[in-house]
Amino acid sequence: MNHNGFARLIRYWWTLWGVIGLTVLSALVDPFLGYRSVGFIFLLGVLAIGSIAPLGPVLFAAILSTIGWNFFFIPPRFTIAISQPEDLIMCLSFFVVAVCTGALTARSKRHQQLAEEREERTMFLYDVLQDISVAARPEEYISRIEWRIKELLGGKCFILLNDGQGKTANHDLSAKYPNQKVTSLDVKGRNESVGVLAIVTDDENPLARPEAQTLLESVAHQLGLALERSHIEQKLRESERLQESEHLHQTLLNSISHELRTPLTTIMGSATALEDDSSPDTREFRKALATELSQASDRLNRVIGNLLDMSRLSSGALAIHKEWHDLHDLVGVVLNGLQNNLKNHRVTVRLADNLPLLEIDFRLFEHALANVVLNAATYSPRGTEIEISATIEKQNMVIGVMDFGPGIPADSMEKIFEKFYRVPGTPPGGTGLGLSIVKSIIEFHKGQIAASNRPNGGARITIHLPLGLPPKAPVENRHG
Amino acid sequence: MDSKILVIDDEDTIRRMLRINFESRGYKVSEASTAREGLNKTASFQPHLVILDLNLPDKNGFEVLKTLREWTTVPILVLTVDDSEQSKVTLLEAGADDYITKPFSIPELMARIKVSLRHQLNEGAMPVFVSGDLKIDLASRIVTVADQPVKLTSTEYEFVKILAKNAGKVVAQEFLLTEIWGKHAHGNNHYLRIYVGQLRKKLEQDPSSPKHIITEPGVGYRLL
Repeated sequence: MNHNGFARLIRYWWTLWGVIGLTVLSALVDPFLGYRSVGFIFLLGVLAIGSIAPLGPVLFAAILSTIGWNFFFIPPRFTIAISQPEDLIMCLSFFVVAVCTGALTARSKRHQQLAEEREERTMFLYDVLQDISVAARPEEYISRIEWRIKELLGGKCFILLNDGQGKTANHDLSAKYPNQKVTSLDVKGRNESVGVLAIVTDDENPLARPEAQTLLESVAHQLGLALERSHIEQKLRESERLQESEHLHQTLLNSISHELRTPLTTIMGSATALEDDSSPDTREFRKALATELSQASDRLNRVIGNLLDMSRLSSGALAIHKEWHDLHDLVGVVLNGLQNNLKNHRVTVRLADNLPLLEIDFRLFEHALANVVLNAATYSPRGTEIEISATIEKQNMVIGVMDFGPGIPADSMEKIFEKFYRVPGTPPGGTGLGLSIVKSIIEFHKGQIAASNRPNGGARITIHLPLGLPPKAPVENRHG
Repeated sequence: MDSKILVIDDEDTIRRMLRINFESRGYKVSEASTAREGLNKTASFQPHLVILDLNLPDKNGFEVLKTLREWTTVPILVLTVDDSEQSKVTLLEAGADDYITKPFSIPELMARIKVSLRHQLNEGAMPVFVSGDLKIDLASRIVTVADQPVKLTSTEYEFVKILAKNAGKVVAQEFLLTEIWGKHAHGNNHYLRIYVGQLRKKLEQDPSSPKHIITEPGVGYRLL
């Protein structure tokens, strides 16, 4: 016999005992109240049973109570017969009322139960949807949902995705859990199956209850849509990346012709001139060409460095190595590296006193700051000033690089940190990569970078960097 | 006496360029294009200095460095294209005297060579370091800037002393930390930042554009 049938019989068994109990109670109060009032005790009993038992047992209780009342209490007692016509009517109306109220309470109870189940199901689905919307990656919500289903149904739950192996996954589970039952549901997207939701339980089919079946089907449906969506998003991102890398390649090709050949032309021109016997053999001439040579090589080296950095940044191959550093030190290294490029500008450094140490990757940050300063030098006229400043504002180090050039056109302000963007009308040269590299580096440091124009003309690049908790040096005794 | 330099590099153009520059400055030059040849010539040519490229066809230059260090103390100057800090630190730990990143300028290279040769020829016998307006007298423990004595704390002096003893050469961060604060200071690189900051305020005209205590990012410091 199956489990459910047995449970059902048990309910009738308890109902029988309930009515027997009612009869005994009625027998006790009968001498004081009379057999008619006893009818109400039976009626209350049927109502009580109706509030806890389903319809079948309630009807059973109503019939039993009518018989019991009639047999034991309505005169002539211990017979089915009823002597008084009004008692007959009472007995019949008792039966009708008992059946009706019993059925009504049972039905309202069933409704309530259904509503509760529905609410539970809605909550479950809501939680699942919440999981999906909150998670950053499919793996996260998949494991959350697996856990939820496991909590709900017991056993184990596996969500297996179709990435070639999805179809065979179900068999794998049967092999892995030979003595347990594996039930699986197809996880479908809008068009095609994206995976399988499998439940491993000890005994019966967890989906035997229709509510569980519908619930899991809804979960599988939502899951399918979400997975399909993330799959599409991933494809989209990949194609964007591909497009970007194509763009990168195209730009590289374009810039190779310009950025690499320009300094190379200078190098070749100067070198061949030095080689040529017909060139004037004066010290000034040689010196002038040599300066050109070294500057051009410097530029070439910088371009190659930027291209390498860009490819490392975009491939994620750049490891960040943060340590506590002194901004003075950083500025010193940057200015030292740019000596040749800053020859035609006056550089003023205004760093606030007692700046705390900054937790940065020195190399990367040096590169970022150097790019910003170099930009200022490139896009402002000779002889003008470039100012580097640093202050503390609200737990942030604010580093500013200002120039006295023409400033940045308003409609370019947002775009100058984008890859490959170059302000229209700027002199040729440059890959449009410099500031986008800077931005990536600053963001690696959880900082922000912004561009603005100064009220008196010139551009300002501002970097905000969170301060953190700088460590201290060991205390030393003051002698020596 | 002419100093002898051995150049171990597989690139023809770099060997030629170096030879032209070295010979014009009166050094004797020998070349090797492979690791094996380099190891042999170090023994036969007896150079005063070895210039070693890391990228060799038959063996990693790093291996050559370690093999050389097993039997000779000749200064080794490494040429590297790898810009990473870690690789430079590893080079110094493996016994390289100094390194220079390609591409480099000849004056810079010659300065490094001079420093290495000087340290090789009379190590420790340099009681006074003078550079521009900075003077560090190791014998009398007096540091002056433009003839004005500068008051240093004992740790600051210790710091400057180590740099001055290795004048011109890069001194690794780890070395400074263990020499000054002991083994337990390992990894506390921020001690160095704080002391370098203090020292620059006392010794440099413009601490944001230092001329004497030069930072080699991620590797160490160099006193010029």
